[in-house]
Amino acid sequence: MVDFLFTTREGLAGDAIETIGGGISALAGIYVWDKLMGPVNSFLSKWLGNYGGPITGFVLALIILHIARAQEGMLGRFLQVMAYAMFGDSIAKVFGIDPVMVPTGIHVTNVSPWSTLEPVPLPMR
Amino acid sequence: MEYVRTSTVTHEVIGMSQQVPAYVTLTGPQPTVFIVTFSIAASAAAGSVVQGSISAFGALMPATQSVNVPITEVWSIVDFYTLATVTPDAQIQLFINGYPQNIYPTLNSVYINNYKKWTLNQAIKIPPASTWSVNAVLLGTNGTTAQTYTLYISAVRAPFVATTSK
Repeated sequence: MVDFLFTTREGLAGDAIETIGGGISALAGIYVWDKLMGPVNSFLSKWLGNYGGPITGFVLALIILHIARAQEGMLGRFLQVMAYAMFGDSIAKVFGIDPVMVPTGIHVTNVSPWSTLEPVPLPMR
Repeated sequence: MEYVRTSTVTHEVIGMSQQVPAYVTLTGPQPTVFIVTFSIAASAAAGSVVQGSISAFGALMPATQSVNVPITEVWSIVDFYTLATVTPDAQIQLFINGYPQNIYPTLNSVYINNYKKWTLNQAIKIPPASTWSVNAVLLGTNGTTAQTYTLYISAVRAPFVATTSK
């Protein structure tokens, strides 16, 4: 639903929706981050002491950034916006994540090529 | 009592014969074949241009010299073929919105039983609300009898969905 809104609206309304959607995604990301970090942090702290939190955070950040870069569609957009919100412009860019350029796969790939003016390659017969 | 019976009967009749009007439209890609006929006059000279008569919407609609694509649809031509070779041969020219397209197969090169038949490697897109037509140019002088050439165009009609450049 969020993805649909992201990809179909243009202009000022689209920007507003994307901003709101990005904000919601970021809040959801922070919530998930908080819920995820708590148990993991306390678990690893038994072995790593005070270094558990930062190390876990760093590893999780790398995992999220890598998943975000690879995924398309709604999950990818969610993760990318989340990653962008959490790690900022410069770090996200290093991992090839640009919220302006996030893939719109879920919307576009569901449209039959016959229904668009895009070229349709034909099989050799 | 009489009134109730009448009412019941009336309801039954309405129920049985009731038809709900509904706008019928294309909901998905639909493969189809357009049949194009060219009337070649007796002794027609080489180089004669004959505009094809196109049957695009089925047998219930009369064939027309040009076809308008519905504004809600996009059409993709995927193949040209003939079911018989012709003499003299003729070159096919497809026009979309008055523009001659840059493909010029001859009728005999698209004969369906050719070992190496002329094929498209990419569908020809006919945008919504476009007008298209097909011409044939005779490559030799026709004999003393008039004849009709038939060209079949395989196509896919689909509801048009605009995609953003994003």
